[in-house]
Amino acid sequence: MSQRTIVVVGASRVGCRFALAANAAGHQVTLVDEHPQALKDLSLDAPYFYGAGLPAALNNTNAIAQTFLDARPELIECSDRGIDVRLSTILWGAFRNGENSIHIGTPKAGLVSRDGNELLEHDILVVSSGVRDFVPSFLGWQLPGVFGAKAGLALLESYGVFEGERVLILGTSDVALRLMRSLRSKQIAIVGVVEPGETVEAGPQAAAWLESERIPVHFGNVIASAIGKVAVEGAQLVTIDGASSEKIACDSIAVAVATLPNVELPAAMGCRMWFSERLASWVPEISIQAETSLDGVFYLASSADDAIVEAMLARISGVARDETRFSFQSGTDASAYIGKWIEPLHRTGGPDVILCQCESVTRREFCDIEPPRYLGKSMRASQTPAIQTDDIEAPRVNQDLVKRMTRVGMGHCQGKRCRDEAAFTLVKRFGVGSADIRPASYRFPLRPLDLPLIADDDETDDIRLNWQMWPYETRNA
Amino acid sequence: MQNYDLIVVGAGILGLATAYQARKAGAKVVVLDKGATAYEASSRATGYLSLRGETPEESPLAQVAEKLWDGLDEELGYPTEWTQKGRIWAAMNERELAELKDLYQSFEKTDIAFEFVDGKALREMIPSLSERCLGGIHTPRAGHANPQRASQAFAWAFTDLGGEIREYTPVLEVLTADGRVKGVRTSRGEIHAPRVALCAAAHNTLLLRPLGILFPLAPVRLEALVTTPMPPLFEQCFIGNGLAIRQTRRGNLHMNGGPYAWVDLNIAR
Repeated sequence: MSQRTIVVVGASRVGCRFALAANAAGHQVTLVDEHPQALKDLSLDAPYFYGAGLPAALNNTNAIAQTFLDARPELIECSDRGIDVRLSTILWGAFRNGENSIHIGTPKAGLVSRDGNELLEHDILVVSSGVRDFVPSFLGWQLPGVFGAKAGLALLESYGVFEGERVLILGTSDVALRLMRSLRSKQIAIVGVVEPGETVEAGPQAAAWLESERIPVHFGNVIASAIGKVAVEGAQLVTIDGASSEKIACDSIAVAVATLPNVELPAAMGCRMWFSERLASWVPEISIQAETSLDGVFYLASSADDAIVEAMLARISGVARDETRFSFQSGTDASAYIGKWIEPLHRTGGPDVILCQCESVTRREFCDIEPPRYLGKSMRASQTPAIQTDDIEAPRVNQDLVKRMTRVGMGHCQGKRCRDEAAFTLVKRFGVGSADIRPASYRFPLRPLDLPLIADDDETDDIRLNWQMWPYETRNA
Repeated sequence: MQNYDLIVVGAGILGLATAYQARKAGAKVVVLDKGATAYEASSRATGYLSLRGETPEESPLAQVAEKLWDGLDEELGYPTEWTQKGRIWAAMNERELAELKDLYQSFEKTDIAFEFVDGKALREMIPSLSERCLGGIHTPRAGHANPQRASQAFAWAFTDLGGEIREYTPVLEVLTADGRVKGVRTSRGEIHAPRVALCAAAHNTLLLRPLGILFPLAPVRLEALVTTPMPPLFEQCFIGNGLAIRQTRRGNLHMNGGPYAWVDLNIAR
């Protein structure tokens, strides 16, 4: 068995499990995770929706590093066993030979941390990047105190910095229940739960728990707006028929509608993707060995079990590639539940709610493909992002076009907060399926990078003097 | 029947501008692209109207281009972010300064206004410019635009006039009969026209080779980088240290350049 060099992206439970197994099998493993993130990176709302107004205590990186490790004993085990564990490190790009790039050689991954940038050569890339918050827009969602459930869980359990005292929960999904259990364990008050449907999405056992904990659930409601001047002071709820409304006092609003897989890395690498209605997201096509359409690039969903890890290791050790498609098991339908939220939110909130926070674009400006207000220009005629083609295999609506023209998804969060709702909005507007939308593209770097951190890496004199470099093409090479 | 006066191959800015002008002149035009409109070089371009002087024979064309850009937003009806504040090509060391001085000799032979300036003058134009810039060529009438908006503005203006764009329709072959162009064969059948405008960048090479014509163009991949928005720093087209850097209306610094990486090419996947 030849030793391979493996980079595992995302020290999630399944990522750690794989790293330990690969290490035990004799491979050289580097385990990378962007957490714990610096305050500056948390404020970019990537990957989780941390929201505005983060506590200054998040600057206390030493204390946070300790809390983080205490909460994740499997990381210490990884480190003890000789796995190169790189926390607070962003894998911002992965480069390999391909159609548009024929000179890379050994695959390389760009890793950046406080200490600078490195291009790490490797044989195998395993993406176990977990999930992030789905964040629907509503009036006032920019207020400090509004955040996503995954962010809330991270702040409560991994960072140990959470200042909310009276939390309103939006949604009764699995992640909503996880967040509520965590808040309860820390004796933080849950003032209520908002649910547009008539039953608890996470199921009857969760409903029973909510009852036993005496947590009030407002069925048949969505949020009309977050209320407050400089931070959340309350929330206005509205029944889904828009008929009646009530105000709830709170200092935190946790958006816990759904989680979505983090797929920016395989998407940007050019892995073949497909739209999963159940996961409400594009995900990479994978084989039963968890291998994507790119040889040597694997994708581990959170639900992956030991059988999959074994199949991956066999493949990594040299077993032939098995093209059998892996089909995800059935489970709760995130698309359906997301629809239950978006429909009444859009109807009751109206078209002038900000959809893209980074670029301050409203729902209407997005749908009408309006140019940004700061350009001070209008369109001669209204246009649509419908793709003009007879090819029935081609996508029908171009989200990337709307992104380029309106800038929705082009801000610092790179669409973490808006691209999914934007896609669902196009689905409703044009009456097409999610798979018919050409999704907004992804590019490296996957997170905004500080230029000084990568500027030190300069090209060699050989490249500078001898490569054809624009704009000196008039110089004879 | 699929009959047009003009078939344009390639929905990049060249193809779209060609199609727009032809349609304005009354021709029945269809633009074909293997993918989505303006999805390759045009939407990742540097975005400069440089008004270059390396090839003095081209300077009359450059001057017409400048006039067209000046009124383009109003003409097309959609914003391009056209910003006409000049171009600065800066030298970062003595060798580059000497090379630019040489180049400037040929620039002076054109009718375009150029001037050679020193580092101090550069920093008067762009206060945040590094001290390492020793001087360079200034082109006062050059300008830049948002390449994605400019390309799409042409596309929309073209279809507003009744022009037709077919995306995801790769052109596989130029059809000829008796030494004349007949049309093209696409993945979705033939389209006929007595004139075909090949605006498909390096794909033109592949389409012309069967006709015995050498089109000496090969594709390279450069790189682009965009920063988060910054406060206003400069409005000129800047070139230096191997990069083109412009500041967008939104405030991002948009950089293009780097060493060429040659790539392979095929038309239909």
